[in-house]
Amino acid sequence: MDELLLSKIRLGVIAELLASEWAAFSELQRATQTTNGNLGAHLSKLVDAGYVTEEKIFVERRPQTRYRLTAHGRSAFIAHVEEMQSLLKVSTGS
Amino acid sequence: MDALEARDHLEMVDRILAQAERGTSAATPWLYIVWGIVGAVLDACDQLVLVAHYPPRLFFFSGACLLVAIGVTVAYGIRLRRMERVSTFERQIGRVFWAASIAAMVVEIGAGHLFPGWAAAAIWSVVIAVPLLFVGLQGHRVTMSGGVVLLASVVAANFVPANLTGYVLAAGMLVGLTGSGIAFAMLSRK
Repeated sequence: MDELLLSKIRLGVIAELLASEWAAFSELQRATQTTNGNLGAHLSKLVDAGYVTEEKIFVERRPQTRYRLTAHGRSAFIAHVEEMQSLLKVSTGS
Repeated sequence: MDALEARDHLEMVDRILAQAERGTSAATPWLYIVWGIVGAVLDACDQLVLVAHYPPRLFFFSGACLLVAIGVTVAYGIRLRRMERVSTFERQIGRVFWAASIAAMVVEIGAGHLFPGWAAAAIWSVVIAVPLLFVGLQGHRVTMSGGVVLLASVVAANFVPANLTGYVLAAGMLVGLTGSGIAFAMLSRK
């Protein structure tokens, strides 16, 4: 399993970004229901691993940080979900 | 990770994806609603002027409606840039709409004489139906229904008397596109 995606928050971030062209920090915070600092730390790890890209822009003179899922992050997410599904299948014996 | 934890994580992923897939911005349904109404107005005006011989100044009204719809679309584009999230669904349907619309415009302007009578209006109904069906095939029932209604209106328009053709195409626009917008608005509120 992907060590990075064992965290529920990081997995939630990737799931949210999977259906998004991009999402701002505040939107990811709403989806994962976590604190600023906590989410920031998790996002840094995802950016460092190349799963997510970060873009800082100004919207109506206010700074906004947007995140996008990379192809690498998408593949990692799919592989991780498949492994979790296999684990469930094995445990239920189906 | 044990099976219990895996189940918990997978359920969370399902929940997030279900919400994210369904979610459209509050502005998107308005785009459907406005363009559906304007499309219907254009078809109805064509019918009134070309078949029922109403004064051609009605075209000024349809032109004004078209400008309003273009204005709403530009405003939507600006708003999209300011939003905190843009779903893949919105981006995808937007791109297909633009590609289909540009193709239709090029054909109508560049080869207008190939499309006599109601062909141009029918082409627009088909052009709008294509992106709706494209997204519908990926599991969005609202857009699938809208696309089917638009196509059905083109087929129906072919069989009704000439004094009803434009109205049938207009009804297709209203039900297929405006109806999809209203359904989207109701789904986003849930």
